Parts: sequence; C-alpha cells; structure tokens
Amino acid sequence: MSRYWAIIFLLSAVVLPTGATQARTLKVILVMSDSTPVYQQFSISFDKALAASMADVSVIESQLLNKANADLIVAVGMKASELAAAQTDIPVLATMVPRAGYEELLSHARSNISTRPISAIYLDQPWGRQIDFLRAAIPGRRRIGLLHSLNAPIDFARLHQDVAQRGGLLVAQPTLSASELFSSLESVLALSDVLLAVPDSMIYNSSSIRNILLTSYHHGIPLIGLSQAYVNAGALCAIFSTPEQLAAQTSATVISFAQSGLLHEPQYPVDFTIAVNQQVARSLEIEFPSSALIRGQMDQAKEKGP
Amino acid sequence: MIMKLLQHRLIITALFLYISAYKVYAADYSSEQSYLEEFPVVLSASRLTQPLSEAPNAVTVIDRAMIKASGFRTIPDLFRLVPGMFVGFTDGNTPIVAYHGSTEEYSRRMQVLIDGRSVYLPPVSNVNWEDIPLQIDDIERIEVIRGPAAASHGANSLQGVVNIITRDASSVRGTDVSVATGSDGVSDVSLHMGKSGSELDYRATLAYRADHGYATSILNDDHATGLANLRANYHSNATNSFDFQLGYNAGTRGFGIEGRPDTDPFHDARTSTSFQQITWLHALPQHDELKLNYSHTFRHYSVSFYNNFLNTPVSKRETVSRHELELQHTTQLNADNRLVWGGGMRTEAVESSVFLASPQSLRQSRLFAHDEWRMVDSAVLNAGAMLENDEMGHKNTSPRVALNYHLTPKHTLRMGTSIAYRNPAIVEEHGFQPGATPIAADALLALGGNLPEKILSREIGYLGEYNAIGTTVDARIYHDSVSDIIYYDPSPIGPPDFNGRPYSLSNLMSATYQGFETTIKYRWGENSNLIFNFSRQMASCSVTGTLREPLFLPILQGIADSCTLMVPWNSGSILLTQQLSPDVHFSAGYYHQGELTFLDAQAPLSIMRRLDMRIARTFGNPNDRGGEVALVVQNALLDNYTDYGSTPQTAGQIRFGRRAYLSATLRF
Repeated sequence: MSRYWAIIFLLSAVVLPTGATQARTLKVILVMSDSTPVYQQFSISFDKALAASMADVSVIESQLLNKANADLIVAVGMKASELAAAQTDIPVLATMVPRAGYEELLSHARSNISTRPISAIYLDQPWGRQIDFLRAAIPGRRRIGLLHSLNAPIDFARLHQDVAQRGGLLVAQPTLSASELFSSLESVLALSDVLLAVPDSMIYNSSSIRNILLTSYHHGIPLIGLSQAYVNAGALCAIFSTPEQLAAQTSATVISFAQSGLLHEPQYPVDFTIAVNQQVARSLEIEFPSSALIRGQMDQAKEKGP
Repeated sequence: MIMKLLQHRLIITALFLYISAYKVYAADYSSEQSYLEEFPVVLSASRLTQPLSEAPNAVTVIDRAMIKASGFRTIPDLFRLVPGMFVGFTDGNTPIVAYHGSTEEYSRRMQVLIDGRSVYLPPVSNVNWEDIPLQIDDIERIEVIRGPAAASHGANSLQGVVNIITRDASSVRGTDVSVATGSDGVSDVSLHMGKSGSELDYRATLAYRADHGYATSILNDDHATGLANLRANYHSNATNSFDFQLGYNAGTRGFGIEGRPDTDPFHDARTSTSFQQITWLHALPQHDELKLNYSHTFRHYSVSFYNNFLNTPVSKRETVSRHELELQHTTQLNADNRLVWGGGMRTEAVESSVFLASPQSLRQSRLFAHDEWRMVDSAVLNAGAMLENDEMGHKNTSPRVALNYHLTPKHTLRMGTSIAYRNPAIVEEHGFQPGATPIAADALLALGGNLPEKILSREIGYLGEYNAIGTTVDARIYHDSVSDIIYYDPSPIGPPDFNGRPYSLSNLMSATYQGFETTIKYRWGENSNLIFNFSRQMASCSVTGTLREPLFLPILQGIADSCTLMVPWNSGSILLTQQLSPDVHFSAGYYHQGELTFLDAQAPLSIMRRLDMRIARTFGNPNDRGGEVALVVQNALLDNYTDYGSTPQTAGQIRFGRRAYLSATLRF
C-alpha cells in the first residue's frame, strides 16, 4: 500500500510544473527541535532514504541558521520550524509538525515568510483517515467521544458532518478547566462508545493519562490514542506515522524539490502505522481485525468517499 | 531607580506568569509533544480483567450500576444477584452467604477477597460481613467465581470465590455526603472525598450504618457500625506504583433471644476490625508485571452479659491477627501464552474464649501458577495449580483446567474441571466451647486430625451474545463432589441425646451437588436493562466417615438423607433498570428462593419471594455539584419474608413486612 502511495506521490511531483532541473548539488540544512531519540531516529532515516535514492543532495545538520547558506532547510518539529522561518529567508520544509502548529506559524511569522517557498509534512493524521480507521477497526462502536478544551482549533461543524457521513455520531464535550476535566470525562463517557484522544495537552498529559485510562476502562470504553506510547499505556489502538515514515516522505519531497525547485502544498503523512493493544482488546471483548483488513476497508472507504 | 527597575521587572514577570498561566489552560495543539510524550503503563496485566468468554470459571460480575439499582444497603444482600448463591441471616445482623448447600451459620467454604486481601478469618474460616471496613458504595465491582478457583485465587476457594474490587484511589473526586433513613431504624450516613493529582491520588470514606434488625421482638438484633477507610496511590514514575489502604470499623451488634434470660439474655457484642495493606506494582517490559502485596488484618470481638443461672458475669472475647504476603509475576511467555505465577505466605494468631481453650497460631504457604494458552484463535486453554502447606500437616495440590472454545466469536463453549481443598479451620482442629450451664457438658471439644475437605468439580458452560436482540446468555451445568466434609461428631460418653454430648468435628460425609445455572441479560434501548438469574440445584449426601459413637449413625444418616432439602430446587432473581427521563431512574429486583432446610436449622424455610423497588431523581450534574434523592421499598408486595433461624424461637419467623428507606446524596 505504502508503495502505491509513494508512486502516486512521486508521479504528482513529476507532473507539477517544473522549473529548470538543477544540475548542482542541493544543499540542505537539517535542523532539529530536540536531540531526543525520536528526532535522532528521524535524522538517521532521512539520511538513509536520501542515500538510497542516489539523489544529488548534501545534508548538514546544524542549529546555526543565522548565516546559513543552503537551498533548503528541513526543520523537524515546531521549534526548529519557527527558528528557520524567523532567522532565514531560505525555503523551509517543516516536517513532523502538527497542522495546527504549522498554520499558527504561518499566521504569526514575519512577512518575509511569504516571499520564499515554505511547506510542511504534518505529523497528525487527517480526520477523514481517523474516522475511516475507527469505522473499519471497531464498526460496532458508533458514538465517538471527543474531549477537548474550549479553544481547540477543530472545525466541529465539519467534523460532526464527516462523522455522520461515515455512519457515526460525534459526541464532543468541551472542558473549561483542568479541575473540571474528570466531570467532563464522565459526561462524555456516558454518551460514547469510544473515546478519541486529541493532541490537547491540557487534557491528555502524563499527569492525567492514568486517570483517563482507568476511568474509561471502568466504563468499558476504549481510548483511541495518538501514538505507540498511548497504546503501551492502555489505549486500545492508535494510528500514527513513525519518524521513519515521515523521514521517507520528507526525503521524497526534498528530491522533488531538487528536481523542480518547487515545494508542493503541505501534506498529511502518506504512510501510517496501526498499533493495537491486544490485551486491552481482549479484556474489553473487542474483536480487532488484522491491520491488513483495516487498511483494505480504509482504502475502500477512501475511494468511495464519505 | 533600582526600585523602579525592580518594579518594572516584577511587572514583566507577572505578565509573563499570566501569559504562561493562560498558556497552561489553553490547549496547545501546535506542539508535536502530544504525539511524542511517553506515558506509564496504566492498564497493566493485573488491572485488565479476563473477558468472561475466556475465563476458566463461570463468573458473575456485579458492577456499580447493579449495586445502585438493587437498592441494597449491605454487601451480603448483593449476592442475591448471583445464580445459585444463598443469602440468609441468622438474625438481622448476622448475614450468611453460601453457595451450593453450605447453608449454615458458619458458612465457610468460599474464598472472599477484597483487593486481593482475604477476609475470611479464623478460628471458623467464615466471613464476618458486618465487620468489614468497607462501605457498599466504595465497591467498583464484585466478581463472583462460581466454582473452585484455587489456582488463581488461593486457599479456601472450595465452592467459589467472592472477589471484591474497591474503587481506585483516583476514582473519587471532590466530596459527597449521603444520608439514608427509613423503617426498622435504618439510619446511615456517609462522607466520601477524594482527589487525584499527577503523582498521588487518594480517596477517603467515613460512614455510619445502623438499623434495628428484623421487625421481631423475639430477637435483639440491632446493629450499628462506624467505619473509616483510606486508599492512596502513589505513582512517581512510569514503572512503579504503590497502593496504600487503611481501614477501621467499630460497631455493636445485639445478641440474645427472648425467653432465654439465663443463658442468652439481650446483650450487645462489640466488634472492631482494622487492616493495613500495601501493594507495589512494578511494570516490566512487554506488559509483564510484578505485584507484591502485604496486608495485616486485626479483628476484636467482645461480649459480656450476666448469666442468671450461674449468677455470674460472662465475658468472652476473641482477637484475630493475620499477616499476608504475596508475590505475583505476570508474564507473556509468547504471543499465545500468558503465565501468572507466584507464592504467598500467611500467619494467623487467634485468641478466643468463644471457641478455643488456648491461643492458636498457624502459618500457611502456597505456590501457584496459572497459564492462559491461546491454542488457536478459537480456543483458549486455562491450566494451573496451587500447592499449599498449612503446617498443620496438610499439603494439597489444587489443579484446574478449562478449555474455552469459541464456536463463533459470539458463542463460546467452556469445559472445565478442577480439584480444590479446604484445610480444616482452627476451630475444627482445636475448638473448645465450655457448656453454658454447670450441668451441661462441654459443648465443643475438637480432637483434630481431620483431612482437608476436597471438591472435584466439573462443568460445561455456554456464553452467547445475540446482539440483534440485545441479549447475552451465560449458562452452565455442573457436577461437584465434595468429600471428607467435616461435621459434628458426638462424644461416646455423655447424656443419651445427640445435642447433650460434647462433640468433636470429623470428616464424616460426602455430598454431590449438581444443577444448572443461567444469567440472561436483555437490553432494549440505551436505558433499559434486565438481568435474569436462575438456578436449579440438586444435592445428595452420604455418610462416609466413622462416628465415635456408632449409636448416632441413624441420626447422621437422617441428616445425610435430608441433605437434598439443603439447597433450594429453584432460585433466581430479576433486576430491571429503566431510565424514565434524563434524571429519573427506576429499578426493581425480584428474588425467589424455593423451600430449603439448613444444615443446622430447626425448621425448614418456606418459599421466599421478595420484590424490591427503587426510584431515584438526580439533580444538577451528578458528577459535579449535583446529587440524588432515592426511595427504596423492600418486600413491596408484603410477601411473607422469612429467614433461617438456628433456634426454635427464631426459625420460620416472618422477619419483616414492607420496609422503606429514603436516601439523599449531595456532591460538591
């Protein structure tokens, strides 16, 4: 499947209006937001993918952008992307960034941002994919509970519609403050069949996750997480893109830039991983289909459209 | 100037703090950290319950919703919702919970655990239900395992296991106060409070519960208990968590029967129980887990009254202390095998002027292992065993094996067999009770040397889900053979009648229990539920041991012959729950129990039918700043509710007509 997407992706890159093919080596600066293993994993995979492609791209990893001289900055994570946008006029490909973060960056950044090419590869999964995933993985659980803080950058009207079009029901419950979190949680659990985590640090954080997981489990309601860490902690499942998958997509974008001199529109991740906590599934008596079956159904749903 | 600068800096700092504070309460959707954050393992192996369709035994789960809907105020009453289980009272303050024929005052053939801490206590190995420092609304869930389960639940799991899981430390947030008042002196009050934080959660309960027992003047069976408990969970890092529990209760229970001013006048007993428990959970890689559990339980019982016959004050007391330590390792051996194994040790010390001539102590140790093997997708084999040594000369191996076969994902067949033992209770080995009058001989003089009681249990069960009609079915047929049953063995010397002689306790009988049990749950719509339980039981007994006084064989044979009457032929319950509007809930429980005779009762108990109803209205947000008012009516149809009595004066008496209580809960 991932190969199929990669081909489409590469074809679309080729078909886009191309500038003069650059004969010289493309100089790329890779800037990371942090040095934790996740970012390192990205860096290693990115280098590997570029090396495997035999493309004429040289990459240096640097945090010093002031006097940088390069054709493209690949900024991994929000901090790096903000830095790259603020300190240079070099084209930027922000990667491993949430869509909300990238859009905020664009709206807040200095005016110089519009004068140079800038694009992104998001870390989050598109809503449509998440809903298709839930419908394929746990079709019996139609009512999708979503707990969020008041200023969540989510288009709820659209999301309600998207969920409804796919045969589900969205139960969105705002919570006003941290002290009201658990009463809001009880309210949303009472009306839902499944609780979908959102990247809302006020609600889902290392202090609250324990109580959220215990409470939802006692209600017999599975939590759908955002990462492997959620699944390890006790979420039923999650779809997410690994640093390796994002690095592969980033390197493909860099190669396309090397060839065309253009950056395509911001993209969601092409490849994603499905993680399941089988113990939780069994305990909640949820019969979880195989990943292949889920992907098959998600593809069908995507082709059919909502 | 310096002041000015400082002021300026303070303003900036304050502004910065304001902005940061605002940032904390505003969701941060823009950072990738939500996707990259590491979390501790929360739903670890011991927190996840095995689904019923893969459990090696028949299990009845009583959850919070059922507890509330039932309207029951006390824990023992809840077991009326378990097919085949008997709940009775020797009087209004002494409940009996028994399964399959152990219907007697000292019902002692079940393991009863609260958060892994066993609460059946020496010297009798029975449960003093009224003395447990646990309030009914602190229960998260009760799992009743119908059948022996020593491999997974330890000693005394002969006929079944009651596994009470209390609410997690993090599950109570804020404060609530409840009061209840009603007929027969029902007067309850409770306060719950709790808080959860990033590293420490706690909940605490203070409660008082009192009633006048049954509405009969023959019995002095008033009851009042005050209790306090605390549960805290400390989880400073991702791999370790510590659960602390403390509890204490103190109460008075009325005793005495009218017409016995000499030996059993109206008097009060004082009881108190305390416990401390600490559980360390350590997460290992690959969802493996280590669990270390230590608990200490202490119970004190004292009673004093004036014996008019002897013209002397009588004072009896009993203290029991138990320390228990258990280590358990859960490991996923491979994709298809999960092994739970470990060991435990327990020491008990008893002083009892009620049952013993001298203090006794006992040390028991056990090893256990239980493997869950997913042979193929459609079949799970649970196999395990417990080895125990009670250091009174009893070394037993209790194996269990069960195969769950999923005919389809929604239909499962279970076949299981197991052997389990109940080591003789201290009273059965060392019991001593002096006679109540100078002319009466000693009542109990246990000579000891008994073998453990043994059960061989076999069953075939079925679990089905019929989603289209909102129905689930859980049914089983079983055949249990209990051998070496310990029963009264009169002395060869003494007065000519069975009751007049001092008795010992010996392995004298065998019994067979067989029958059918089912639970059907029906759900029609979001807020309408019905749970139907039914049990058909048959029992037969035979004399297999040798009496010390052969003259009494015909009497014992007569008891064995009447053993068929010791279980009700039919029994069952129906619990209906209906939400009438968003804030009005109605529920009704109907309980039926066929005629039966007790092992130690004086008269047969006629058919019991009882209808209980509850209607509740919530106001505000029930989870936060709200509350509930509820009315419970028990025995609403005024059926003649009788109960068991171990004396002629109390047997077969109508215990209560209709009784009602009103409760109010306010959460803030």
